[in-house]
Amino acid sequence: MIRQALKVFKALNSNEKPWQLSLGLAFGGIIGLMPLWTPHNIFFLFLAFIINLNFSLLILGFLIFSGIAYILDPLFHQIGLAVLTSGGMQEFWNGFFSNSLFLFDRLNNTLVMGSLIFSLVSAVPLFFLINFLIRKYRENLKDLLEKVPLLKSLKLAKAFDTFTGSGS
Amino acid sequence: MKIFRWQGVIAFILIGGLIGIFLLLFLDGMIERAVEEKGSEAAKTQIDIGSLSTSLLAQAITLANIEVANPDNNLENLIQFESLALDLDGIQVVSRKIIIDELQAHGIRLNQARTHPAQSPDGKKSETGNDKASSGQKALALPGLDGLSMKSPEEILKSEKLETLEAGNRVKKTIEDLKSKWKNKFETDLNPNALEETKQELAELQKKIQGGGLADIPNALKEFKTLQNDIQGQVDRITSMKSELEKDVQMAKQQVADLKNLPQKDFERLKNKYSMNPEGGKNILASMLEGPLKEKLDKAWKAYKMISPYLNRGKSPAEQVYVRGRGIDIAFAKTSPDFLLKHGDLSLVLLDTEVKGELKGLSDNQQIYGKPARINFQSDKNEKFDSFALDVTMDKTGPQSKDTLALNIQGLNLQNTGKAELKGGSANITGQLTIVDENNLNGNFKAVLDRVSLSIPKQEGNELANTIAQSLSTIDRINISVGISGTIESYQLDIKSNLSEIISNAVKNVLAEKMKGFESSLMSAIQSQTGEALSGANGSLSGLLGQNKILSDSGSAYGGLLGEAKGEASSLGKSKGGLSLPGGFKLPF
Repeated sequence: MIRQALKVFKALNSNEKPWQLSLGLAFGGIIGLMPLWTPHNIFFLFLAFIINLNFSLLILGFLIFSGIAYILDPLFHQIGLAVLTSGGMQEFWNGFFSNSLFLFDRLNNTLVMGSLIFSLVSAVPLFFLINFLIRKYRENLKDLLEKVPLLKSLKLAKAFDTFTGSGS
Repeated sequence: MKIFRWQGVIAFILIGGLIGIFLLLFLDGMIERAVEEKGSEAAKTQIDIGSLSTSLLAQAITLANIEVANPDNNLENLIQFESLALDLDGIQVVSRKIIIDELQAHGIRLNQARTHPAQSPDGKKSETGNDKASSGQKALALPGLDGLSMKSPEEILKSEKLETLEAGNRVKKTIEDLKSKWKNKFETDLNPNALEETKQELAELQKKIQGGGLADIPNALKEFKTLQNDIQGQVDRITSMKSELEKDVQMAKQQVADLKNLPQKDFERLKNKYSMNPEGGKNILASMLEGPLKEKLDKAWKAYKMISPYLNRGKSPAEQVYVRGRGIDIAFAKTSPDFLLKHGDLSLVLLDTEVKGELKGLSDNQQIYGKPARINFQSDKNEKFDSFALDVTMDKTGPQSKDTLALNIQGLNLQNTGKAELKGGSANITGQLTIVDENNLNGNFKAVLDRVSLSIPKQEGNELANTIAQSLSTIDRINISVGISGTIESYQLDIKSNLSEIISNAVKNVLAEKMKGFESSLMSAIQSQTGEALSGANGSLSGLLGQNKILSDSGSAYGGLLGEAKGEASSLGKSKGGLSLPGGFKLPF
């Protein structure tokens, strides 16, 4: 856990672009908010593998948003139920789900549909918000925090780990 | 800075490959456990699978030693299969549909004993089957005659409530209440001191007249009138009480009179219930056959009810409830059922012989599939029977479901049916049953047993059973027809047989004398048990009647006083006409 936190801290202070970090967190959010074993979640994981985003932040985002998903479960169900049972969309859904692929993806499940909509919609502002915060952090807090003795010592320990080869 | 890292594809494939290998290695065990757990939950009974193997390339699953426990008897399997082989339509799995192109089911056995007790999936303790252990396949069994012994009157009265006894106690209590009501009324309204006080008042007035002068006469007359009115009031009250008491007495008398007919009524009721009507051979046969038949039918209905919901999703889709972490699946217009078994070859083990069968079009939604499910078993001549045919059609394509079963067994060898009573002969069994709307029954089955040899063991001390057994041992042909009607929850069996006549005659001979003795001893037992209550009610009534005397005595006492007061007042009125002197002297004018 500490190692993971250090990785995040290291990423924040690294030369990686802010979009890589915020996209990592946004992808972690999308994957974490949805039921894990759905085909489209595996697709998002595949995208995460090939896009040059930060994986530590993806894992952090996944862990945080999995917990949030549990709390928001009834909301996801309500969103999914409203969308799937909406009177005006029944014809569309009948055509949509006549394709086996979407049934296989379990998009007719209220939780899958609700969480997919919620995570995709919330991922966009989350991406821009995190992007903005990282920029602000790097502009204002990065140099300040590096002067904190505890972080300094952590940094030294990390350097020692790297030097002795016991680090990752 | 690159947007894509193509080496990520390799990492993804590597991870996916590892997961794939893991699944290939452990998929069979995972499916086996899932089927056992989820299947047991859905069927509400334990399902065991001996082994399961999948072939992804051939899209096939093979299972061996599948056992479905009887939910009512944990030592018995409702159904078991030696082997099941399924050829699946793999592409349909993508649509989350189970489409089985071909099924091979071998070694199907019904109602077999389990090697180890089953556990209920919901944790409830199911009935232990020691006493209900598998009876195997004994569809043609003739029941024993154990239930034909008659209860003694004492035993009957222990378990029966007598209306006479209850009514007697009720009447006794009513009369006792009336008695206590009148006792209270006498004490308050008919105070014995009041009579004495009135007597004394009258005597004092008389004294006063004798000792008084002329001037006192108008006052005395006034007092006499007042006293006379008081006494008249008391007499009126007593008269009204008498009429009220009379009404109460009449009511009590009527209730006591009604009690007299009740012992006879109790006797008739118990006689009809416990006595064996010499004409009732038919009832005896029905009671002999109905129990075992109903036991088997109830088991069949239970299995039918267990399966039906899974075959009629079109009419009654499974109700879904939101569960955290699962959501609910919304069903949209379907073009094919979620479950379909297109064709199956079956092999049923019946009476230790193999009967081949075929299954077609078993689906969970026949309204979409458009075809009913059909199962048929057929067998030609073998050592157990000349021919066997069972056709089952489950038609749920229309708005009203109609399931039919037709059975035709010819030349069934009775010697090996597992019943000790049947020593030989053969049977032809035909019939059909229709279940409309999965509830309304209409069916008729006929069994003709020819060259029958019955040997029913003697029952110590049960003359009736032994006589019937002896009568049955002389016959060689039995016709039995069973009509089924009503609903699954409440159905009636109409059992007819030539045995009725045979049993009726046997019953007539044995029971005619026995019934007389039974009836007289039942009447005596009723009378001795109800005698106390009846005499108690009568005694209470005579006590109530005695209270009438108190009122009469009191009434006549007041009547006497009233007459006396009236006499005194009238003589005083007359004397007011002439002047009288003290000492009885009278003036001449």
